[in-house]
Amino acid sequence: MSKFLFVFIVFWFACTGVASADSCAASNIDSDVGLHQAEATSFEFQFDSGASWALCWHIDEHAGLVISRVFYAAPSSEPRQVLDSLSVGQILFKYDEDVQAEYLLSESGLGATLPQSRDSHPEECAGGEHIIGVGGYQICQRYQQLNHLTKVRRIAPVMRHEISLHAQSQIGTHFYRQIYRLSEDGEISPVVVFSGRINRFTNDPRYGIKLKGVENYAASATLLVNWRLDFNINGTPANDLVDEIEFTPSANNDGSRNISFNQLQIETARDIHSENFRGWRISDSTYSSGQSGVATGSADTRLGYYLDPQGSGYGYASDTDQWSGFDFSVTAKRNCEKLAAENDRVNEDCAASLDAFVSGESLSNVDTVVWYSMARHFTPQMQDYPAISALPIGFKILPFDWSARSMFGSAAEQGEIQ
Amino acid sequence: VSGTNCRHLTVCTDAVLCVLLAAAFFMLPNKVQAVPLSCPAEHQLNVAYDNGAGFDLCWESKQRESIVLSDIHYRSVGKQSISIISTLRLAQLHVAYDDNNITYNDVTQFGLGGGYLSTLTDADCTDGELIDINGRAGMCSRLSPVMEAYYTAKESRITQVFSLHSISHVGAYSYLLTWKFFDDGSIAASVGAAGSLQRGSADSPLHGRALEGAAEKFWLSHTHNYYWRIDFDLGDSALDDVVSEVSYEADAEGRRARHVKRVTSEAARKIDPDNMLSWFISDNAGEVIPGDIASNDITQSAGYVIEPLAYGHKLVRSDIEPYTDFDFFVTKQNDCERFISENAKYHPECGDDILEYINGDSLIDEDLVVWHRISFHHVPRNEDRLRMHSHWDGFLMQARNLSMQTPGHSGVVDNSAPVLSVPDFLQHDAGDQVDIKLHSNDADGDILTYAASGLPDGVQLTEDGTLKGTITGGGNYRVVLRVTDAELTSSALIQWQVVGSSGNGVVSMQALLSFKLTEGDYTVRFRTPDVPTPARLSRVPASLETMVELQLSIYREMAIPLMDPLVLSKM
Repeated sequence: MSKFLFVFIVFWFACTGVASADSCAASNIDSDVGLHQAEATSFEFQFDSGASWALCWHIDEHAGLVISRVFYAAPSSEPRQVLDSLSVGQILFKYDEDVQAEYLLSESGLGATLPQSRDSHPEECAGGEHIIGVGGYQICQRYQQLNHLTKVRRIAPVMRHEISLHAQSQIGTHFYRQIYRLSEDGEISPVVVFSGRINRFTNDPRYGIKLKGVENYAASATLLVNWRLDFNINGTPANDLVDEIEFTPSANNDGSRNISFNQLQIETARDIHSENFRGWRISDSTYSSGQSGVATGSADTRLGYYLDPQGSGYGYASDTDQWSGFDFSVTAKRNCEKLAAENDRVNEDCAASLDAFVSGESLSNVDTVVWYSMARHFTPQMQDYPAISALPIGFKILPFDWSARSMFGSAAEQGEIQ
Repeated sequence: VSGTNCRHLTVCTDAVLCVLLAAAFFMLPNKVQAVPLSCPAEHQLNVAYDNGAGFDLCWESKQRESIVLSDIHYRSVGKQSISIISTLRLAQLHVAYDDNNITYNDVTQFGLGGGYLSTLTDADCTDGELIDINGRAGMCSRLSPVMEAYYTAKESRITQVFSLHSISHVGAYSYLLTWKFFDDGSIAASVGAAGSLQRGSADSPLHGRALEGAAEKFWLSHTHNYYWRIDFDLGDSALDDVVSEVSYEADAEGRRARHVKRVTSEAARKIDPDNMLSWFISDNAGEVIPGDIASNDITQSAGYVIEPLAYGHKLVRSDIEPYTDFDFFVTKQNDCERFISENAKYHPECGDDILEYINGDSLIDEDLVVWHRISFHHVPRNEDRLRMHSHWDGFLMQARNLSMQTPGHSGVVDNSAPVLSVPDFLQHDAGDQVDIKLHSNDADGDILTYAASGLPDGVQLTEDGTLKGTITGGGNYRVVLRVTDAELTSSALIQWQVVGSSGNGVVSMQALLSFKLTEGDYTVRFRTPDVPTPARLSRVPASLETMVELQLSIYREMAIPLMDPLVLSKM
């Protein structure tokens, strides 16, 4: 039995407004996405559980693989829009011995370096299949079973599956694989995987590692990946709210913690606060997954997504890249603000970088864009020669009160648990 | 449950079957010989990957920790098996609720094994093999492809992972203890938390959330703190492992030099995200270190790196549980130091928590144990009812230098980097004319191009790689030269001192002085118009004729050009 099923329910998707060939036409994609070609390509996938994803994708010269008009439907539920677009906002690559960083999206471009045909390397899509989109670009889609989604004693488990889209760019001898992982329970995991061949060697042992058979030291480096998330929860972009949620230890140090929701009212750049478990919810101000369907207070179950920074480890900050010192930023959307650094190089007459985008503008009743960064360090080792062992950098956003309850498992089972 | 007659995976549950399987392996192209293990055959796991590497290990089921893995050996491609880990176990599952009414230590309070261990079904182990534990299916093993191994222009490969998982039901929670063994030798430990939400309170709006369909109470936020205990035994001897802290601290200009500091006595450590701190556990004896690399740099040894990459959440309750201040611990192996907390409950002859184990004992020539924790703070959401969607937390022990090259790669390199040979140090007077041809070599005979940054005023780099011109300015210059064959680049650093003429604000430098310093903290005092070469000094603002006082941490011999008057004293 086939483990996965494609569905092209054109009429249903047309009625609900989710991605279809027509809705992925350039004229229907938000102008911010910045299509350089005629239109994007639609992609739809339904899991055996009934959960489904629908979106458009295209290759941008700078950002590479961009997904847009992203809709998720939980099992037995109607699809709702999550994002207007999701893309890499910049990749900063800096060798440890250098003062100056490289900005890959503006200097080389992930789209400009994406080969249009990679048939000679079928292993790049092992376990999946290539799909060809508008402009002849070829990306990979892959379906996987991941792990247990639910496991409750005495009740049969539900396994978690995901569909993912992959595009691989080559910059010099380095490869950057962009992956958008879409789980059947609504999680979205943007990932960039760094690999390829080591291309820098130094004579200074403080900044490199000696490898077998190589005369000099293979240079170590830092990667900082920034993503740009243009949320559009439930299809009304101007009424999304961004809350910073924290769990602050109580003043009497008794071990208890108090939850707080702080709605971000103006453009803001923020840091992770791991000891307060700081996270960010992006939600619709109007709609709730509750019975009434109407949102009321800040702590209620508004339709939303949660950006959980739990997977963050390293920080990166630089005097020459002020924006890089922050993990999370939210801005009022401007169509020309696309890259976190060197934005003015590709978008003339626009601010240069993310720290300039964050200018204190009100977020009230405007479309908001979230920017999120993650850093990793590349320390070469013998297993990285001749090929660099894949180094993934990614995070996830997960549905937060998207449904009134878990939609996985039968009602009878739900009753048994209760 | 029977073993699998499969090239990729052997689960030996029967001695006769194991012999047959071992014989079968010798007939395969990638034949490998499993290392003799200390456990009964039915508790052995022998894994052979497509790339020729493999793992051999033992397992046992314990009342407290559930699955404990031991005698873990890794065999890199074309090599003999080497010992990696003596024992690997979950050392506590600490759950702290935000209302602080209850804190659980699940491993010691309830235990994850015995009656808490779930009997697995085929649905819990799709595409895997169920393994018998005391007469019931208690563990699942699976060999499967994972996505990312490496990509180059000519070769790409998917890596394989061998995984083990068991499920323990504790209260309303179902914990999925999972261990993953990658074909490059890396090992991941993780726990999935499923089941259903356990605690709510009608009067705790500050500590929880009201969810749809159950709004009569607030479902309490809580933190899962997972602590693992890893007794590394790298190589032939358990007594020669080394734990080092590796960090990359940025200087004022943003360069990040590597700093390696050996942990020499029992210690509790915190993460340091800004300096990208990691911990490296390596073998000091050299039996797994490639012989052609002579270096005192421990990062070139074979071992395992733990990078704290899942630290967006971190539970700290200093007043209640001081050990929660720390993220990584190193102790001397002691069998009775088993759990991170509530240890005395089962081992009254030992301390009760990890901080009591850390009493300053030397780690030199001792068997070392490392402990690592990961926290996850769970904010209830509608999707957690009535079946909670699982959340997964863990960490990776990344193999370093266990293989001599990228595992599975052909080893073919069709282009070698050019090599640039330059002096480390140059000294000139302002007004000097220079004409220095850079010496470079490219094994492939490629056309080379040159670039330079930080040159003294008046000096230029010509296309053919010559530094040329009349020096016009004085000072200390950090010159970076690069040569590239259009694909690969080599860089070289030159410290270039230019002695200026009087009257232009530059004071004459005296001759270069070299000091051999032992490890320690020093105070260096000197008068200088400019800060001399070591990067660690560059944060000090240049100030003419100003007394500058610095504290240096010096880990190895350094050559430091210093000016007179000079005072060098150990603190």
